[in-house]
Amino acid sequence: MQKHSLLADLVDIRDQIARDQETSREQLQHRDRKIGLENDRPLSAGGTRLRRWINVIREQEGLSNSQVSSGIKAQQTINIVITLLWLLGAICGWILTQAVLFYDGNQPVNIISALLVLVCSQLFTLLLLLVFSLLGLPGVLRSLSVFNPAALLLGLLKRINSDRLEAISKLISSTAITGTAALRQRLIVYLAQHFTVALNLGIIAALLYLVAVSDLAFGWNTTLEVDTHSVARWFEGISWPWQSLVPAAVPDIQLVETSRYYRLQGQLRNGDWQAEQLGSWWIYILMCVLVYGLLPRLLALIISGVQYDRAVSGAMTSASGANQILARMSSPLVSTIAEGEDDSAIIKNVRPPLTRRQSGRDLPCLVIEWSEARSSTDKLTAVGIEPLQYFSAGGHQTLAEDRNMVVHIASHNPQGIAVVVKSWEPPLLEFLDFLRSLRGRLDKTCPLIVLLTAISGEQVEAYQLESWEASLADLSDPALYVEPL
Amino acid sequence: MEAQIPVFAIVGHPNKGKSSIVSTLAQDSSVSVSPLSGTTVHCRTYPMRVDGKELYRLIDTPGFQRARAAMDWMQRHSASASDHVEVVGKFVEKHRNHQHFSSECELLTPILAGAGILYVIDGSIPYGPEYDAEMEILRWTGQPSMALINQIGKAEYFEQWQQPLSQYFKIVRVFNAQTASFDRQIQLLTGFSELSDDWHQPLRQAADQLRAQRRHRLNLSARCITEGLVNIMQASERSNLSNKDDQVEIDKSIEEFQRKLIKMESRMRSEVESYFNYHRLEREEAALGIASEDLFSERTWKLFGLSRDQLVTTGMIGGAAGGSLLDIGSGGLTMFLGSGLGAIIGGASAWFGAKQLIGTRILGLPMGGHQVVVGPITNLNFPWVLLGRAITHLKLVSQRTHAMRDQLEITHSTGSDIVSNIPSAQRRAIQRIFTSATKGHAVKEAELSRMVETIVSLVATDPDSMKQDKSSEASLDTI
Repeated sequence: MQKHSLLADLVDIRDQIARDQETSREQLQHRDRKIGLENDRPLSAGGTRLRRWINVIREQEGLSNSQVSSGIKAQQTINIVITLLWLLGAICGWILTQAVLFYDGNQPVNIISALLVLVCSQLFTLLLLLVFSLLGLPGVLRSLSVFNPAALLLGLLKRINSDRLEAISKLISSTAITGTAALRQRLIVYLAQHFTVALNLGIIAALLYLVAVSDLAFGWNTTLEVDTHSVARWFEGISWPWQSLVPAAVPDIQLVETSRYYRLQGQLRNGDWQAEQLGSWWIYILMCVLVYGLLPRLLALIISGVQYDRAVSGAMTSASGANQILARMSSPLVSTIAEGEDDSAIIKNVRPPLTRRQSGRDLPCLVIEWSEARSSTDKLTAVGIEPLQYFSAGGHQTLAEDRNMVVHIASHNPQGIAVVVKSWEPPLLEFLDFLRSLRGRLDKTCPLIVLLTAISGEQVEAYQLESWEASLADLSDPALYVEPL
Repeated sequence: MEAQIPVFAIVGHPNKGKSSIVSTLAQDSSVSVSPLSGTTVHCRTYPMRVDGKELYRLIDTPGFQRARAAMDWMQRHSASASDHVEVVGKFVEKHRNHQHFSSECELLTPILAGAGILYVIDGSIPYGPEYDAEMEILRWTGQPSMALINQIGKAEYFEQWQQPLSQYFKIVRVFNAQTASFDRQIQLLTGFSELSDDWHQPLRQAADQLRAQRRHRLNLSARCITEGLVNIMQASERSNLSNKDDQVEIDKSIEEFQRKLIKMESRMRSEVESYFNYHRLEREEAALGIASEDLFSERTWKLFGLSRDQLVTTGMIGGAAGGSLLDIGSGGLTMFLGSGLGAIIGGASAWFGAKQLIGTRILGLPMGGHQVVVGPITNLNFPWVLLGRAITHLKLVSQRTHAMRDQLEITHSTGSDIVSNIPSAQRRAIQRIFTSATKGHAVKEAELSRMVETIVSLVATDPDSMKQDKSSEASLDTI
């Protein structure tokens, strides 16, 4: 499995989460659980598990899509930015040194000014970074980033090629729960360290070049009445870190004394120009740049690199949707839903609806109570039916008893038959069979009235009547009626 | 050899809630449930799988249509009680390819293959003799069986059913598919193991997995709400103005911003619903009661937000926290004046801020012209209103059974007092998240996790569901 940088993984994870919005939750669950079962080690850190996840997704996607991912593009862009910062830093360091150590042979280079520009300014910015980072004042740092070469370069590149920087820009512009507010800061600080390391290397290269191809003379001057011994102690104090390692880079009292310079007289304090001796300051400047410039910046580069990696990892696990991915990978896929499509048939009334019975004089009827559905003469009379005789069918009656009863009824040549049924029970096919057998024995015009009784104290519901009408319409019997009792 | 998994055939008279019970137990809203009879014409299988491994299977079957005729056939072909199972098998074999007994053959097939019988009746209607033939046929199959009294209507005829059911079934349970809480569902599922000792272990395992799944779903939903709220609190809308005093354009931007927030909230709802397998609810969302209780209506604010007193208290706490920074910065030289002043300012802005919900800023553009920035909403009560609605919705969705097909409604009784009942320590922690989000600051993962836990605990220990459980518990005992 190909390894990608943390940033590439972060960008691709966020991209994939955005793409997953279009995919159903079931599909995501299946995909991620499969990845989880095959590749995941649940005890690993969240970031590690997410990286493993995105690598598998990349592999799966890669089979059908050979395009470079946004994450890889983002990392390439960052690499370009780092390269440009190295170039820029080295050039700046070179030019700065050339300017600071400009020497035309008239007056020596002021060693204090050189140290202030080449070393102290760097120490100052480093100190600011340290203080604001420790105090946790990201707002101040953000405001100061307008002077940050890395931030400036990113801003410039965004104007030139916004597409390339889109992923990074999206990444660092979002805030809050995505955890990328910290990432933006870390990225800028980390990139800036590349610039400053290159700047120091540029300074050192330019210094060595000047020393190699030209003669340099250094001096120092002041209006104040300063004791040379104090100044010498000050220089010596600065060179404390390398005193034992490079004794030649520690200026002695004689060199300090000799290097004091007065512009009015246009000469050195002791009056003698000893160019070779005055040039020996270069090794002191070199050590100052190495120890107070390059070394802290290298350390800052390493620390900011670690912090940047941590911020990327943090942004990875706090990305909106990352928790869900981890949960999908580690949670068993529990499925309880049905297999296949539902082929349930919702009854549609495709037959012509039953006709309504004409109201008029009472119709003398034989009454059949189906499955112990009870009726009363009063109720039957109320719906225009004059009960002549009561019979039972369905329920505990056997099929043979039902058949005999039908034959018996048919022999009476009835004017009408009322079948009382329970409205709360659905019309079964068994009942339809019974009605068919009844009609088979009767005249086709003999009214067959199905009367729905309700549970005691209740009324027949509209849906119950509808259900019975829909089912009985299947019989296509023009003399069949359904009514509530 | 692999042990046989438990299989349960849900059988019974048509329209007695077989599909509702399956729908609830399988957490599947795709099951057709209709008051019209004969909705289910073929068996449908609901396997319970964990990472592809099947633990049990439910089979929804069509209802008996010609039970008396089938019984009549069987009685005619049986010589003695010892051949009952064989006769049922012969019946299915003979009529398998005929339309006449299609329902009976369809429902008897899985039982003859070894499925346990769950015979469903509706306890809200009286017992009738038409059920006897069905129960007798099931007894003839010789398979382990249990009767489930479902309650579709309001009336209770449990007593009337007790005698006939106990003649045919050793175990009889009451289970309301519409209102059964999750714990009830699990209790019923594990109760199936009473049918066979071999089923004890897989059903227990299944119950454990379903419990874990529910915890997982609640966590995911709470996380979705937490992240969704932070996103809403950060949201703003920018649009260019031709004239900085163009009130029509500004009002349009405010409306656009409101729509954006409502859409974000609606997306959050859909996601929560999908965690609980509700996909049809999503389509019905436009008609949900939530929409009628508009996010920006005064009534909604009264129902779901914090009370004035609580708002002022929370505002004072927020303000005091800000002021205390001043105290710490000065090393205590301000004599804690910062905290006091912050509390007063925070409380006052909470009091007066409720009236001014959506703030706008007009910015000048470098190349000329103006831009209106609407939001983020800084009003202190706004996120609490959102949280109250979101928790209410989660509560309703998590307590809903899949047999319920009515609309999801957030009413006064379901929505009140939710956020007000959050303990003050948790409320303060949540307020810190809201404040950070509004200011566009990063919110720590640990803080988000704590909020997720708070939401889960509010939903999991909901007194309403406990009440519901207690009332159904009384009637769940074996008859």
